[in-house]
Amino acid sequence: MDRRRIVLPLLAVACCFVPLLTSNEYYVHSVLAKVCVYTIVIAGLDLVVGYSGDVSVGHAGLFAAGAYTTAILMWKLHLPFPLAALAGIAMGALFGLLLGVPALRLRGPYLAVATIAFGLIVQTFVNEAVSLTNGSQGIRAIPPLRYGPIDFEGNHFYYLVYPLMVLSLLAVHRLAVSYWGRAFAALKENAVAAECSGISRYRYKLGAFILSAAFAGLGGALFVHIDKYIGPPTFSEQLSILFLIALIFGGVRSIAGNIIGTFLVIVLPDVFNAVADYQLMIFGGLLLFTLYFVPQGIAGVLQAATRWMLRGRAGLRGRALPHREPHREPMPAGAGNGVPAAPGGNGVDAIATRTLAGLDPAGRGAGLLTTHDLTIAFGGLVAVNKLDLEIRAGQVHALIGPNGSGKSTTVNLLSGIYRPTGGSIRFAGRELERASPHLISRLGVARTFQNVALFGEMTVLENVLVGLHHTFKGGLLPVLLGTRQARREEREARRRAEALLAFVGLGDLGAERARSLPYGKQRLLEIARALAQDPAVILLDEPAAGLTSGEIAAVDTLIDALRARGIGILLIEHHMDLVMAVSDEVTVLDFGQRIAQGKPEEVQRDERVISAYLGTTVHQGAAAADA
Amino acid sequence: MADLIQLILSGVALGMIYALLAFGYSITFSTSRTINFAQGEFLMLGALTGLTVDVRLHLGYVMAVAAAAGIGAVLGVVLERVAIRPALRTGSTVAWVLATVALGIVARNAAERIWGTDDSPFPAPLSSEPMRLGPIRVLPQEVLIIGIAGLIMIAVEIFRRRSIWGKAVTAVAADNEAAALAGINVPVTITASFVISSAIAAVSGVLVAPLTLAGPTMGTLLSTKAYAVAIVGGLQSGIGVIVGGLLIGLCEQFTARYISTGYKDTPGFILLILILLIKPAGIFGKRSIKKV
Repeated sequence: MDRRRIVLPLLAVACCFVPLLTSNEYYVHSVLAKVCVYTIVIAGLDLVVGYSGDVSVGHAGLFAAGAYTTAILMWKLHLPFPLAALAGIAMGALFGLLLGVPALRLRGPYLAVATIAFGLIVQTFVNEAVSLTNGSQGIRAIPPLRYGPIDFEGNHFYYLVYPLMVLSLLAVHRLAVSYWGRAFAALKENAVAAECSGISRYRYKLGAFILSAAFAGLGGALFVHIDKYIGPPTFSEQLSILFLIALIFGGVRSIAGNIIGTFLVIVLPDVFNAVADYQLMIFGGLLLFTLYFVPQGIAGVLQAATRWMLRGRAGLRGRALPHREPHREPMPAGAGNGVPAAPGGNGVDAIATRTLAGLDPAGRGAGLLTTHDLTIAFGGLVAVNKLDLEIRAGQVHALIGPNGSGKSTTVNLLSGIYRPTGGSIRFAGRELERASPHLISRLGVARTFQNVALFGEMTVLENVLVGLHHTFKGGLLPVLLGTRQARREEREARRRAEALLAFVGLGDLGAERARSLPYGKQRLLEIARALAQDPAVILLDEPAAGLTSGEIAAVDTLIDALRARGIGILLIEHHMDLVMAVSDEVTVLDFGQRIAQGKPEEVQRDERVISAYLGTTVHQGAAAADA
Repeated sequence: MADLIQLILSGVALGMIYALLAFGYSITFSTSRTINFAQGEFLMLGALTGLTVDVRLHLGYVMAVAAAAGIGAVLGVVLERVAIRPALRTGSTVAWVLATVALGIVARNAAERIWGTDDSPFPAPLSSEPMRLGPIRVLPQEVLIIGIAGLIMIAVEIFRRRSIWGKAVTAVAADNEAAALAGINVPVTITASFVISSAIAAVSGVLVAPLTLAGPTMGTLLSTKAYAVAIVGGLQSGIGVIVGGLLIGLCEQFTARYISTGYKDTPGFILLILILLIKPAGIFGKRSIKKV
């Protein structure tokens, strides 16, 4: 790790001097400079494809937006390159916004086709808007990049594009390892869970496209100066596909991959020049081969190879590498058997201080989240009908009922996943009926999911960090610049995440992949992620489902600990022992209707509750039929 | 007036070709949530194979259609095995998009090697002279396209709705895990959907070639338009793709006639983007409620 910190910058600086080795215009200008320009685009594309998991077959359109804006401004208005390039980046970003809008609602083939259409529209426009773009003639009269003693023409162009490529790769890398990267990854793995953890889908989906497009715009602005000519045929669907091929060849989410993939895509056609007639076939074949046998790309293979070599060496020395093996320390007292660590200690500052501070300070028993006449109908089916609920600070309100009675639907309504068709939800003096899930999370209502909805590919610690998303106040710029504030926020969030994991009894599992946790621990991790959001109210959707009795005891202890902190809890559960043990109040649903409400022991004796759970007896049924 | 009717007829014929291709997309989408980005190349290979059978071997147009269907079916199997199945295992959209594109690249290059890069005329099976109905002049091939395309789609729809095989496709479309548990061989069903879809694409090549020309790049733009048609109509709807195809075919003819031939290709894409913004599931698509 530390060695990489020294080696990589040295390597980056060393590569700056490559043109000194050869003055061959072909190698420096046509290959190296081009690789730099395209790598900027590919690194940007990686934000959308690799990090956000969307697909774009329209990046040539963004590239064109940057290229044409820059070229036109330099050609017609004689603007200096830096200004024209900034305009190109801005235009690219604007087009990225347009391209990103469909991504908010579409996935898979739909999005692929929408992005293809986008690229074709841009290309058609470039072809037809002759007065602006010179149509099919293209633009040739691009002024040289010479400003006084500074000369970026010919081989010197490399000295402009290379540093810009390094900066672009650095920017993408910083984004990727920051909370932005986590937001992209969380939305990619499970958009609903990400939104319920406080991540705005609009902001980060569109953000990924806009940032990606800004890089494509920069690439376009530089591309203008490679051939000093741009014309419509360059910016075809084929170019978008070439970008994707470079990305996949090299391997996604990897700086090395971005560079290697781009290099191959640019150099291979020359290598196969001897068999020019079969060039495309070889290219297509190689692509199929890559997708089939090395789906993680060349960088993935190299990574695996180095890891294997390092491991071999470490094995000789008789110690494991620290970064792959989760470090296992002796379990802290109370954390064994999945029982949460005793409240207090580190856990105290891990959990929100704003919990009560930001809200009504009346404390325990004060109503936090209330619904009135809450109703939702799916077509003719009324899943929840005129439900009144009140969740109070420091109390556990259980919501029980047979399967299909509308419990999870209620949680989905309260967390903003469904829009109610009637009634109101009030929280901390605000109406929540129309609020989005991430806003609800931000306001202080967190939830867990009946079917565990973790980010399985992330580590346990990262899952909690997603919940801590709201603690990152610095915007995009501090992240890109790597400011002290951004680093401090990250450090503090990690500390809190560790404390939260210790609190739920997963303190030693932070480096594990979430999907590899046993089921019971996954449920605890969901609770930790919910707690990370500093909730005033937490909605637990069957936290004990599928757990062993030992694990249920742990959940029981955890709920008590949360209640003691003044958090209001809505508990949906089928384990009646647990419900009766921890609840202050119980509401019973059947077919979306509230059929009983009261203290646990009152509800237990209620005739209607018994019949809802067990059915009416033959005797009663017959009596009803007689009546 | 006669001019208008001719314009409409050309639009409908073009629209039916789009609809056929889009219909092919909807078949594979329903079983595997993927579409074949090499569909245009399959259309092209169908047309060129048909050209060889018809002109070189003098076997006639009907045999050309049959040969195209055959080659399409084979291509469908190859595509599904080489490009779709491994990509589905990785679960990434980019994988199957690129894999099918890659196969398309290989197919186009192969066609250039076999048939050359030039476009050749494809003799019309009926008369290439327009028929005269009063003041209206109609190309027989346009009528043929409309008729055969309609028949193919009706036949596939009947197959899908009435036969037990069609029910299997519907079941896999609804939930492939449940379908597998009910004893349906899901991989075979997916392969079958690619066979049908690719055969349809190849046949549409033979249908459209007498109007355009037959050459290695003939399918590119047609298949791209068909994406737009599939989305506008809704990938899950058979009627949707016909309506979408006709809509876009007509829009293009009218744009070319009354605005500019340069913008001929845009209305389809503008329509596409409008639909995506207003009703992403397509005009005839149903939105499903996501369960959490």
